[in-house]
Amino acid sequence: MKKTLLLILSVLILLLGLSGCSEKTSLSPDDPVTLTMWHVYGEQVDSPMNRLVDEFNETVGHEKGIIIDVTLMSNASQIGEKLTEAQSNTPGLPDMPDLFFCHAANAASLGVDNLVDWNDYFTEDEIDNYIPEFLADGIVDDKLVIFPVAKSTLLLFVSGSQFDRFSAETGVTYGSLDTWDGFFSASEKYYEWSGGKPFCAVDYPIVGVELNALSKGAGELYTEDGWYDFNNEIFRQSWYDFADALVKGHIIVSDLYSNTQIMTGEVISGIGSCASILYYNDTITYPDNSSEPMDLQVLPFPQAKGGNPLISQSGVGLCAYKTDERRAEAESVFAHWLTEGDRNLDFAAQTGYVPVNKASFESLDNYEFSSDAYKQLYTVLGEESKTATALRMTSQPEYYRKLNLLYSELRANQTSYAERYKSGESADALVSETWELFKAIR
Amino acid sequence: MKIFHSLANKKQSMKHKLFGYMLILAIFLIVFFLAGLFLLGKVTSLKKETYNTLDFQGKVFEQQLNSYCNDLAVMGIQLSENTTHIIEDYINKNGISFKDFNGSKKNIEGIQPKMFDMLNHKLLETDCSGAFIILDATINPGLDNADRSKTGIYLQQSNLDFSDNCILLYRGSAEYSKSLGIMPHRKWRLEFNANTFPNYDELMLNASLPLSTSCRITDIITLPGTSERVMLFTVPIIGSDGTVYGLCGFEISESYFKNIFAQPSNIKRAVFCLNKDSDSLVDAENSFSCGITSGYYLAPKGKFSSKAIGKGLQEYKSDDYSYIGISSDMDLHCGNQKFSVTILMPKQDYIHSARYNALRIALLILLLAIAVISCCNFFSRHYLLPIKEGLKQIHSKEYEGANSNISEIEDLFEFLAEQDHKNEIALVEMETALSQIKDEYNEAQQKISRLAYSRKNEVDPDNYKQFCNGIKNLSPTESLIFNYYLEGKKVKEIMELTGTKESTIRFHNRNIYSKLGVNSLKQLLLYATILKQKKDNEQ
Repeated sequence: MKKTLLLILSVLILLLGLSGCSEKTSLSPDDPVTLTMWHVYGEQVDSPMNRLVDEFNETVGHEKGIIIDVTLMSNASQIGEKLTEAQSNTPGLPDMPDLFFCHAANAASLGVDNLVDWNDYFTEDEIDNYIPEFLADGIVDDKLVIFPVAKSTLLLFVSGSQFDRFSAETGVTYGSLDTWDGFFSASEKYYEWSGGKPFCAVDYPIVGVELNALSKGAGELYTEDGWYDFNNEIFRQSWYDFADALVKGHIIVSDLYSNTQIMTGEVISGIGSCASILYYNDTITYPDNSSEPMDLQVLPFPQAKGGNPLISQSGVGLCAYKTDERRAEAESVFAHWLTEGDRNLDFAAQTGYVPVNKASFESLDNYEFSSDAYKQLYTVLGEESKTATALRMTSQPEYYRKLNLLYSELRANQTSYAERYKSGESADALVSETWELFKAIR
Repeated sequence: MKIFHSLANKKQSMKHKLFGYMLILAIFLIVFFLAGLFLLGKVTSLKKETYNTLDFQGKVFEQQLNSYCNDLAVMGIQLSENTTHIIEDYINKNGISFKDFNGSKKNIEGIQPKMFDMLNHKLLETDCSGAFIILDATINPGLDNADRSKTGIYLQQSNLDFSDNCILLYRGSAEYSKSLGIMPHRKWRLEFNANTFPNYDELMLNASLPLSTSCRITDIITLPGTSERVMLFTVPIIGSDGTVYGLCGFEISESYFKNIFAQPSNIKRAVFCLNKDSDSLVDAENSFSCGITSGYYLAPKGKFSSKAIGKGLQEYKSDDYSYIGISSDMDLHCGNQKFSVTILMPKQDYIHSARYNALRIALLILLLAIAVISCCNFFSRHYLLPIKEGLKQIHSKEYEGANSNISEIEDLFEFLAEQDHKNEIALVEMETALSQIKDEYNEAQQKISRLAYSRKNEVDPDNYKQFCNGIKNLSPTESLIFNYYLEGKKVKEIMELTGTKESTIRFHNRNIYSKLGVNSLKQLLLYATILKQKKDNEQ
């Protein structure tokens, strides 16, 4: 009897030993792990990210036992707030996702210790495949908590069909929009030509103000508390340039996304993320239900005349909420898969983003894009990457709250500013009013 | 019975026989126990068990869908009646007819704010992803395809975050919606296109009162400009004079469906499908699906073929996936529209369960076998131990006064001890008798010797010599009879021993007498005794 027991134990030990020799993984296709995900790619429209998730689930996910379930699609400006709410179990929101996309500032708010450090799951060789500046965007407290998937910059989008008519009668060309001076001048001319319609809806006007100021040598723009230094004279002047166009009604702060205001015929151009190309309608619909093709034109972000060309660099990245080792392994598999060479290129090319993988970035020149607008966009991005310096936006958590407050105030007042200017009030006084409003933001 | 017979007749040790009987008993008990469980319905096959589980899940899912559609119908009818009320109120106040909305920016823009507010409230009150009102009128009849362009409002929940009630305008006046803080959808249009609104013509054609019988669910479509698949719950808007003003209703998007119908389940992976226009999952394009609340969800894709695999289960196969599941028809009270629900579990899981069950049963059998064999071995050994000890004691004759804790064995010990005692007495008696016989024998021998000695002197030496020489001349038969005589046998006994008649014996006697030179049997025996004694003395 003892011998039999000894034999059974020996066999079991041998089997356990043999199983220990195989590759160590906590994943199994027989017992798949489901990862919930929130993302910002293609909200309201056809989402390339959802298609990628489907592809992952059907291929690598199927083989390894990982299911990605997209439970919320939001946008880059709102997802941070929703994540914070989900973390505090706000009723009505889906549960805190395992994977999500957000800015560094959002990651800091969620607590870096609550997030997976991707450095633990990517080797140094693997990390070397990504553009260092984009990786740097995702480092918070020395941890790579946001893995870059795609990056964006602001560009100028113009409804070609409308601009052509305006151009034909006023002589303003696309080249006129290369500089802020030309842009503001064109805006004024359009306002007059159209009988009082704004020329452009700007998604993140402060970026223009900042880059214009920095280009003119403004130096450090922020104080120690992460908000603007209102004693910076160049910055103040840059604000005044933008505010002048705003109070006169030549430009507007977009309702949320400039592309919606172009498709309703409210404006003929918009400054927004390069990724907004995904959301553009192909037609403009007017209030009488008549419509015309948009013929979208993509132009570089306007620059300060004679200054150093500067462009913005932003974009959310992939975060993983720390739960258990099994999920972290699954999250790592997905992050590797999502950001590898051709896939990263395809994803970026379909969404209007800049790829983060070095090989993908270099392959952009030879990529066959789905439309002329996309081709134009990547031509502009390529030129900008060669001629301009990309600057990262601040990651101070409070910064975006204050900024959103500022935009809300401007949106609420911009119509009345234009009306007051039209009724005879001094533009300088109105501009000063906006400066005071800006300074009053807490 | 053959086993019993074999076991009973085969020469085996007691231990092996007892072990065999106990093993057979254990096997019988287990078989009866399992049969009992089976008869009581406690043992079911995997197929039956899977069917029961899926069937239960299906019924819960159906009930939830039914309840949901009833609620939608109630809210839809209210929406329709409210819209009718708003339209007729506007018509009456402005002294126009419904036809006057067509081509009238003023009238359309005039009525939209009231409809907008009401629709917005209904959207927030109702469990849905969107709500719409579509009127049979267009703002600009002069445009191409204006007859297919329909004014109206289509509001959507911006996402699945129900904490912020963020609404988007998919169709309708962007200017007015923005004044309410409602942003246009990224793929906004001013009006509906009847060509892309699912089943529009059919729904308008079949619109009739009462509204409760006119609720319909449209085909599943992908919303133009998006990748979101939706089905629309529609109710006609019918005026008091029977004029069909349009349609209204609610949108159920695939994401929304997946979110609100996710089912609690003890199945690790399951997919719940609502199929339109078919009695099972045929084409995933015509189905909405959801997963389980614990998080599993993988939408079925492509076209499916199905085949029965027994016990009510079906196997559903597409190019990429295989499921085991069940389907059942259901009535959502939307006219004659056909719906069904299909509950699926990945075939991989089913096979895994089958393997797991088989392994479990094999392990159970193995454990039972080990337990039964061990028990049989243990008990037979322990049961037979005193018997074997007893036998050993019997063998070594150490049973007298021995204890074995088994009464039968102790009785046997007592019996054997008693027998031994009797045997000893009998042996003593026999030894005494034997001693006496020996004494008598010796005495007789002495007498014979003495007699022979005394007769020897009376015997004629020549006759005796003839006798001794004559013995060699006896034939074999005569020698045999001669020897019988020497042994003291009588004629009758010799007849029986040789199987011959008395006359034959006498014939041989005469020959023997003649060859030995004697006249009588007495003389013959005398000479023989003398000869024997002489030989004994010589030895």
